[in-house]
Amino acid sequence: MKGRARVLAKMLALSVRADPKVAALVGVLVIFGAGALALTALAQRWVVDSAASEGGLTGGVVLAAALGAAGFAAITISTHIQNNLRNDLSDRVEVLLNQEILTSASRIPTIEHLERPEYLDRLAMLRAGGASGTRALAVSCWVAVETAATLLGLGLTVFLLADVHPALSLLPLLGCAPLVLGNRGDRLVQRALDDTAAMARQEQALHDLCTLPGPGKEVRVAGNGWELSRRARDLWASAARREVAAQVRGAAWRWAGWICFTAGLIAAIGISVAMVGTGRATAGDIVLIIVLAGRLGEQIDATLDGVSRLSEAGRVGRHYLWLQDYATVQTRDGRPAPYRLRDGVTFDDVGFTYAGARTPALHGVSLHLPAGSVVGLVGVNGAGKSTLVKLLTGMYRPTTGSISVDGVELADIDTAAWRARLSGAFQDFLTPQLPVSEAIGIGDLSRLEDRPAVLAAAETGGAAELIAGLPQGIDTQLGRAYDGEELSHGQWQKLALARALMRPSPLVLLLDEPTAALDPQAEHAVFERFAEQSAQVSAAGGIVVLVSHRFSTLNLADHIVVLSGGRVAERGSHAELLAGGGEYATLYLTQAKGYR
Amino acid sequence: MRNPFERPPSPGLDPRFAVGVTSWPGLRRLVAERRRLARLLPSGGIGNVTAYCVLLLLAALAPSATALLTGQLVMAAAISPATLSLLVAIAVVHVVQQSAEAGQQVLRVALARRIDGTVRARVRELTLQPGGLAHLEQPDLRDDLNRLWDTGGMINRTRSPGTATAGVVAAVFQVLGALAATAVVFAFEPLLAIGLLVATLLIRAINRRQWLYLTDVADERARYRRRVHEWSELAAGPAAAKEVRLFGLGAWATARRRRSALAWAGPIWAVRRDILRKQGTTMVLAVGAGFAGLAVPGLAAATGRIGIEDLVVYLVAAWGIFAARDVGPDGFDIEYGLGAIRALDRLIERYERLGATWGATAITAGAAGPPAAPRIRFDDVRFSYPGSSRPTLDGVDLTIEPGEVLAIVGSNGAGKTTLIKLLSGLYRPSGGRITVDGEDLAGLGESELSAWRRRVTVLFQDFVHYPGSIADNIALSAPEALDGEREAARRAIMDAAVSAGMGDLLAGATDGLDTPLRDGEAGALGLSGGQWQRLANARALFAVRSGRRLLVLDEPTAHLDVRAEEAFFDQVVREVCGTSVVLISHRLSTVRHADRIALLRSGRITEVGVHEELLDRDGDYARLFRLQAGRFQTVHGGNS
Repeated sequence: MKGRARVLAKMLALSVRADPKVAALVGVLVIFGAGALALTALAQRWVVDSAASEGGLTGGVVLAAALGAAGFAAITISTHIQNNLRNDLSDRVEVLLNQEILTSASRIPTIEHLERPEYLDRLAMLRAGGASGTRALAVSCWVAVETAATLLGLGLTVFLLADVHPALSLLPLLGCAPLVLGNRGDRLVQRALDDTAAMARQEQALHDLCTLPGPGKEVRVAGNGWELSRRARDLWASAARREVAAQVRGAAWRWAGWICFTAGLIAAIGISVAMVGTGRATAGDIVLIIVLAGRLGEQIDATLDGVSRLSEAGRVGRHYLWLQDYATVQTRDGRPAPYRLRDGVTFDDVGFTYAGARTPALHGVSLHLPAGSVVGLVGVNGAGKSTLVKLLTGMYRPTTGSISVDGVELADIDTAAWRARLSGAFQDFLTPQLPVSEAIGIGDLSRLEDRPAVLAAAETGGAAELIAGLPQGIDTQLGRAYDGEELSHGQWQKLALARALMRPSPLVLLLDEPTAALDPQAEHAVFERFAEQSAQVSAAGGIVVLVSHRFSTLNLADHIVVLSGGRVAERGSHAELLAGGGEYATLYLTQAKGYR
Repeated sequence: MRNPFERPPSPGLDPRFAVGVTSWPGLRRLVAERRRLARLLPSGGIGNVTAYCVLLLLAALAPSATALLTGQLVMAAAISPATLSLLVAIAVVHVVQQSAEAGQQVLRVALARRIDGTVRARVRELTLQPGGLAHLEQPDLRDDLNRLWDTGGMINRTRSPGTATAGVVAAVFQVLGALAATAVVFAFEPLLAIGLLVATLLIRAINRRQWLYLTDVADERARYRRRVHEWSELAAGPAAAKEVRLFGLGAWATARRRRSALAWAGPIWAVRRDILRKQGTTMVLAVGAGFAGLAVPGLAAATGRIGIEDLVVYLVAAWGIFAARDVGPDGFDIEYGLGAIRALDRLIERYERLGATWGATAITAGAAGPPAAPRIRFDDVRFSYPGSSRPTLDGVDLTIEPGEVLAIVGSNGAGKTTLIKLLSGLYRPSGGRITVDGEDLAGLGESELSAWRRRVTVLFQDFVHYPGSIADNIALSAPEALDGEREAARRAIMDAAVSAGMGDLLAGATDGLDTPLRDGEAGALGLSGGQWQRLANARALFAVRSGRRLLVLDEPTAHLDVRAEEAFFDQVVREVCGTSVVLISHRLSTVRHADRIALLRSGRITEVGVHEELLDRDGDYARLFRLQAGRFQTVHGGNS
């Protein structure tokens, strides 16, 4: 409950920020509409009473009709404007909300949350937008205002009814029956939606396999499209069946509520008919009751709808609050990063276990990466190379032990500042659908527009020839979905490498399998040029970490670390390791044998 | 916030003057759309539709019935057996109305879901229909696909085709209710009845036109939306997470997302604000109708022309007419959902142009006994991607002999993957021909093409992670193998898994082959990259053992370590017999074991031969091999 109030407060604040005038106007319109409704009901009674009075008061009829007409026009226009404005307001709030969500999400320094299903689900829901995502949350801003105003209108109705006979003010109380029972039915439906969410996601994944070009090639060659489509259809159908079953039960609850309400209404009409008989009420009062009961029903409906939307928003809102809290907890300030490395980076008995994993990915790793050196990191798949890289870049924090930079704990250094002094390329590199200049330039945002710098990085990364072959050169849009050029996997990797070389003199340059997808010629060229690059980096006291399982690429490394099963198995220079006859030598000779 | 963006061109009619239905184009469009919906409705289930309509009708007629009964009640105006029976009648009408409303809500959901399910299945059918792939990459088509669900990842329930269809039906019955109320008033004063109805329908039409105009403006800008989603993914998606953090791109990408969101929505907002200022006509109509609806019966009663009981009936009935003036808060959602149906129609049209036929049948089981490995010839094959000026393939001549292991080597972007896509019929060559056992691939019809593909299996670099079990992820590479005996298929899946080295993984998995694998799904088994690779290998093996006699491997070992690479060769390439293997790789140490090696360069095959031959020839291949081999020698010589 406290969470929901916090979400509502946030949303109201966002609405005011999005457009204060509109936010106020929506509130005013809702209250105005409630007043206008009461006005028309009163006007109708007045018309009947005037006409029924002795001799028929034509003046009274005309005046009442004019009043009613004004009320009717006011309702008609205000509902239309209100419907438009709330879409308008929630659109604007949604933009701000997305802004906040993305800011929070990208502010989280670690990436652990992106590898845990329970977090991923929450983030996916928040990022998705649409009726079940941010939209539901954005909508809650006006739902809150409207629900409050509807309650106000309800009060007004009570007042008018009590005016006829005090007992009639009980009618709105019976209106609580549809509210309470309806809310209960709604919860049943919501729960069914929650239960079928996983099914819906799976159906969506299958649907995407059939309609997206990326997986489309495999789906077509295998010829399993029809099978996938059939499964998607079955999933959809069974999810729908469950939802409809829940709807039936929900509708039964709602129906029961409305029957209570009807009973009250009939009683109210009965009372007023009896009062007309004794002359204590007029025919106009009967009209008033029937008209007001109709309004009351609409208001209760609106409130129910609002409450249901609020509970939907509450669900998303919990994820939203979680994200904000998580981002705040994870972000810590720290000391500035060193400008230049003196000593290097030291791993002291570092261990790391992935969330949910039984065995640690790294344990007892003690290493010194000296300033101004090129370090090769080798090992078989799953030896822990990529984990080590992620620890070094602060994507994860060590479970045990510590990493220090020139004697200062990495945990005490501001993560953003530390990263600003790093650069690198990952194995699963990004394929941004941007113009080539930006796809490379984002490696150093401060020089995004600096074309000579981008071209130089492209040259060193081995992408110059590729770019020269593109129709608009460095301005070519990438991605066929944007009418741009599609690149092959290897060509994308060249851009990733160029990106890694944008920052002028990083403290640590991390290259995780930087040439895995490159052809022999390109790989050779990269390493030739790369020798100069790493000489530059190490001359400035920087460290180059080169992760590879291709031993031929490690001749640049002054120092090689062999990881095996999450531990440091061996280390030394290439010659030492080869002479040592350990794992490194075995792996090296296996690979070299392929070229004899 | 002032809108900083340009005013959009008016895609529909200007809502300030046009009333929509009163203009010919507007009327034609309305009729066409209603007919379109009528065709979509039966897919919701005839029973559902009928029950839905009946309940809507009951709910629509109830207010008029209440009005008439109330008049009677006012006349009685004292508690008597007659008034009691009237009260009971009113109660019955109310209960019927409430029951109809409740049932209607359930059926609305049932109808909408079924229609959406059918539409989704139809969209998949459409997109799966053509054998090729090029159609899926067209930006226009992608926009229409996005427009259909308007999701950005999740299914949108409120603005889907099904919800819109059900909503329109409800709206039609709302008008029917107004007609019933009109009939009540008609008995008193025909002119007033018709006047009130016309005014109400005009207000409704104006409101609808305004929503429609807004939807059109929004649809015009569908392309901008994709960008917005793209930026969201970059800023906070899991794929980009590491680079976003390393390069500090979060704030930048978020700002770009905001910019593109505003570029998308700004003009839509401006139009909406503009529409809001144009309520003059509605105002005049509402004041006029409201006044007439109250004053005419009121004055008639005041002058004694009608009784008070009739006055009550007419007043309530007039309000019943007015109720149809607005579709309600869902009005925009309905109009927007109708836009999704228009996107569906554009899709269907597009595919009709592509020559796809309706009522496609699933692939039928293959002929008895799998055919042998094919002989494939590329004869002067040329290919350029649509919209690209440079040819990717420029006269490829190549033969793949039955049962051989052919390696294809070439630089990045040389067209190796394109070659595979042509071979499996995903694209058609722009020039030259590819023949399989003497038959031209380009001449194959859809069913023959699928028959050809049942002889092929490709292990792509970015192989699919199917949402399903381990067994699904293996067996979906050859779905035809599942048609036979279930036990045999299970055994074949298990064998493939074990051959690919998944034995340990299976032993540790809770449900063995049936363990669910889903990316990011709670309770499912998460696999590492290496484990997925092994699964993909099992997939390829299963397909080959199910009778697919051409195995294509696209860079299968790029991310494997030395031992896994060796194991791959033993487990997959040497494992298959009587099967042709096409192996694409940059690892020349792997490639050298192939029966023949072809070098693809500038869109042509420049060298073909056995490893030793090619080394002797001293051409590009030899140079590349020595380049890679030389790196080992440098390491040797350099450091020792």
